[in-house]
Amino acid sequence: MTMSIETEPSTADLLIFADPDHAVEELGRVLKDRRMLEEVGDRFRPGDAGFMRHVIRGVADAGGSLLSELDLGVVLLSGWTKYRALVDAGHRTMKPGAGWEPVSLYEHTITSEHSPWVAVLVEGKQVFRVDFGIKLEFVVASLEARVVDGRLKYLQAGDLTASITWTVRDFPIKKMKFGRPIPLRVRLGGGIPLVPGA
Amino acid sequence: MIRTFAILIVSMAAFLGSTTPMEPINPINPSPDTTTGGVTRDGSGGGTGDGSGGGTDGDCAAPAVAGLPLPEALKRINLQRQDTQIYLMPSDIPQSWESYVIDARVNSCGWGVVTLELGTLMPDLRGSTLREATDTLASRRVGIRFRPEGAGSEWKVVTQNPGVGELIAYDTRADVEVVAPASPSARVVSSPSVVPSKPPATVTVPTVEGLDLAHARKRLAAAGLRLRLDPDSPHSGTVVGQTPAGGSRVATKTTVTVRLAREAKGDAAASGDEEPDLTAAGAVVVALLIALIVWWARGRRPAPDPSPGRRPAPDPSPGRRPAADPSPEHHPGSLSVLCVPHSDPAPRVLIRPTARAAQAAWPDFWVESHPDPGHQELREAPR
Repeated sequence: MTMSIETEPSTADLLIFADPDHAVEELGRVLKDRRMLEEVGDRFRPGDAGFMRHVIRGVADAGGSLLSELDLGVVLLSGWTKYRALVDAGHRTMKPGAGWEPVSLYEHTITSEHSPWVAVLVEGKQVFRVDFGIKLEFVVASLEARVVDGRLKYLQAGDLTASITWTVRDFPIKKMKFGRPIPLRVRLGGGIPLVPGA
Repeated sequence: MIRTFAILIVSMAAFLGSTTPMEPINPINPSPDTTTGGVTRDGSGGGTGDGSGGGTDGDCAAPAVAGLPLPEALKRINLQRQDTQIYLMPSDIPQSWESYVIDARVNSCGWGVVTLELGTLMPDLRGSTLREATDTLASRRVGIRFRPEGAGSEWKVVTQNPGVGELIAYDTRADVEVVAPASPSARVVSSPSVVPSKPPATVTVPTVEGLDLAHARKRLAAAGLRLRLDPDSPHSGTVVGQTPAGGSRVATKTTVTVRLAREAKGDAAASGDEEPDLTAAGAVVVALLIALIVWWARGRRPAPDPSPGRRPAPDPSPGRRPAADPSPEHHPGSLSVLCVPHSDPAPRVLIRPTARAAQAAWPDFWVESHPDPGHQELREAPR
């Protein structure tokens, strides 16, 4: 059975934009307005607007895909598995005959900062790099978890709200606080290891 | 009126241009021996060129062939100067491998001796086990370096450096980051397709085989699907394979991976990635210039060129344009541009109780139990 935490929306791009294509459009607009890729154009095709459009579109597509590949469930899970009380419970329940332990957490915040990038290759050689920043912040009302044999086996979270900031080369593309609570669907199957060897 | 004139001029230019097509000045031996001692050409080409060093004119600039497939790089070098000695590094790469030029170095100025450092394209290792990734790279003569140390052979690759489709030199090592199969971050490599809790709308995947990239993209977009180019595919040509196959039902916004077949070079410029961006006025100006240049070049020659298909020979006079930036000249209309996304291999994830929660969990008042000491009084009791 696959382990997953599914959210609705499921990925970072859908947290900001109703349609993922808008992410590409918005990024393309910023790249163009801020002239972030002019260096590439000047180097290979000075004054060639078609070439510039091609490069901008390529970077925007790739940048948008980075946003769409960011799975909110994975981010939440990596935050929770870092929670010290859970990890400590994981260590304790690894001992023979330790049974299971409940772990509770009141309102908490999970912050996840990502620094993906897009490499621009001309004739197969990297000539430019565009750095992005994606900052996700989840506020979770509460968390009830159960740890068995060093693994996270059960998890129930209270209301979840999220905000996201998307930047390119430190310039903000979009900042958004998601307006309604995000539903969660948790399937942990055999459990998620919290400690090595679990 | 202007439009008609422009069409006329463009047609004239095309007609005149068709009498002077580009063709190899000296056809190259299609099977250069790339396996014997690394020397592929020994100066037996016969021509001595114009003595100008193929555009670098005595300076030590290397030929601009980095990133090109090896056969194309050899062709370009040979076109510019035939007596160049070319060394390959490493020298024992089988000719059947698809090698690329990582770097070109001039051993002696004027391109007398050039060393080409060779490499290969990085395959997509993400999602494969460490064992598979090691084998895949070894078959391309590339080593592997993985993190964390002590990872098992069944651990899954989540990131790789260089990225998919980037070049890596032979006999070097690629970096990969692996996670245990049960680790939650292993999902990062899973398909990015959206899994909403409610059933998504589904569409039928159109068949795009036989179309060029631009038309395939448009057709898929019309069906609400995204196109992704297979990392191992050439970047131009016609679609010869697609996943999922045409006719299957998938959720909207699903990514369809397509693979292209290489075509003649002329077709690359016609592919959708290189959309012409000429306004009507621009087209007229360009067409006029082309027509003028062709007319001038033809009219200047006293006698018909013995090799009419040949491009006008480089002018050996000192006024020749220096090839300071060879790119526009060497890549007319078909610069290959690829944008490769790289996800952050180590995002910074923090979890902390919010201030409000901290207050609720640890309030600043508490209850203590104290026994009542009672009320005690000493009285003098009468006897």
